[in-house]
Amino acid sequence: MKILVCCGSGLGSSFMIEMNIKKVLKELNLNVEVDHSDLASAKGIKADIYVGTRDIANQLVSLGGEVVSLNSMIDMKELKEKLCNAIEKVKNK
Amino acid sequence: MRGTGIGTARIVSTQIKNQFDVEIVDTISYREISKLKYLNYDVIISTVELNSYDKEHYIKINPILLKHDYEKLEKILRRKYSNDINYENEIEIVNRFISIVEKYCTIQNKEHLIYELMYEIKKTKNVLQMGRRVYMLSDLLTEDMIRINVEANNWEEAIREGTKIMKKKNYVEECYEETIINNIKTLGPYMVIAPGIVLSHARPENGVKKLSMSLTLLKNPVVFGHETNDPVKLVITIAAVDNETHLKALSQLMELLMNEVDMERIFNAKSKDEIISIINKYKN
Repeated sequence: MKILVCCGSGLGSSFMIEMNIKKVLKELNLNVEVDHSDLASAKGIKADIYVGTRDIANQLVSLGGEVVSLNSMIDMKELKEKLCNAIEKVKNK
Repeated sequence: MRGTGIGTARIVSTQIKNQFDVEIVDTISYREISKLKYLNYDVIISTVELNSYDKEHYIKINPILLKHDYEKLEKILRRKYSNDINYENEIEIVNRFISIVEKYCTIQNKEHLIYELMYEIKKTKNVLQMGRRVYMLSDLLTEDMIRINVEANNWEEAIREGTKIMKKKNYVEECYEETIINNIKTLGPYMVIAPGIVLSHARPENGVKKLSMSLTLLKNPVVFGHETNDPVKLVITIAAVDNETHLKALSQLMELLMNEVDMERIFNAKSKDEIISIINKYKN
């Protein structure tokens, strides 16, 4: 399973979300690959779950994976909840 | 190469690539060790013991490179920015340049030319070494990069207030803030990363001259048009020069943003000193 975090420029927010996802995965004891990129490059990267903040997430829907749309980048509770849902969905596919 | 997956191997490989003049053929896991015989390589670097190989056939290092790991690697790899470009080497390079120049032009003042070329080489060397420095949040968000009680009437003004000091200090070009504003107009207010906070940024090639960060606390919050995180009171502007140098400071910033108590204090700060003392806590 692979998770790709995207933001507008691929420098700031996506990296910060990636760090938090790694924290969540560690907590859940899951071994999943996580990477980050800008929106333009995301289209060429295959992943099972695409994660982005609200405005970015809309543009990730067409990429063919599960999409996690985040309201806040620093809300661990929201991230954990939405990420777990997406992981379950991918597992049950 | 690592124990179970490719995560560590990739981190190690990035560290080595940054520091040494080397080509990484592949990063593989311990389970894929049979793949090795199909690869064309000179050295195996591993974070785990490889039982099927003799000790001389691979180098074992820690996942996060420590001093003695660097020493092991230095024995077989060449440092990218070696410190041994000493005076002798420099003068030799300069002399070679001079003889090339002499082939095509008449040199008016040789001594001066040598001096100026030496100066340029030294400058470049310093830049290369600067690039290896790790920047802490407190190195970037210094007193002069923080402003409180700043007035802005709308989100565009708020973004412009954030880049103001950077423009003044010539850390970014004019086009940097225009790109940020255009990105928000076309992609939406995605930089409003949490309630009340905008992380204003564009890419290095959009006019960044020097890695920098600024913190601007608005007198009155402004609306960005974000469904859940409006209004915004804190503008953090980041100007990155590449994909990596700012990451340490960014991860410390993340720690800070996630600390509700400290954020509450920043939102209500009455002086820059209050903000600085909070920032100084994030040094890990």
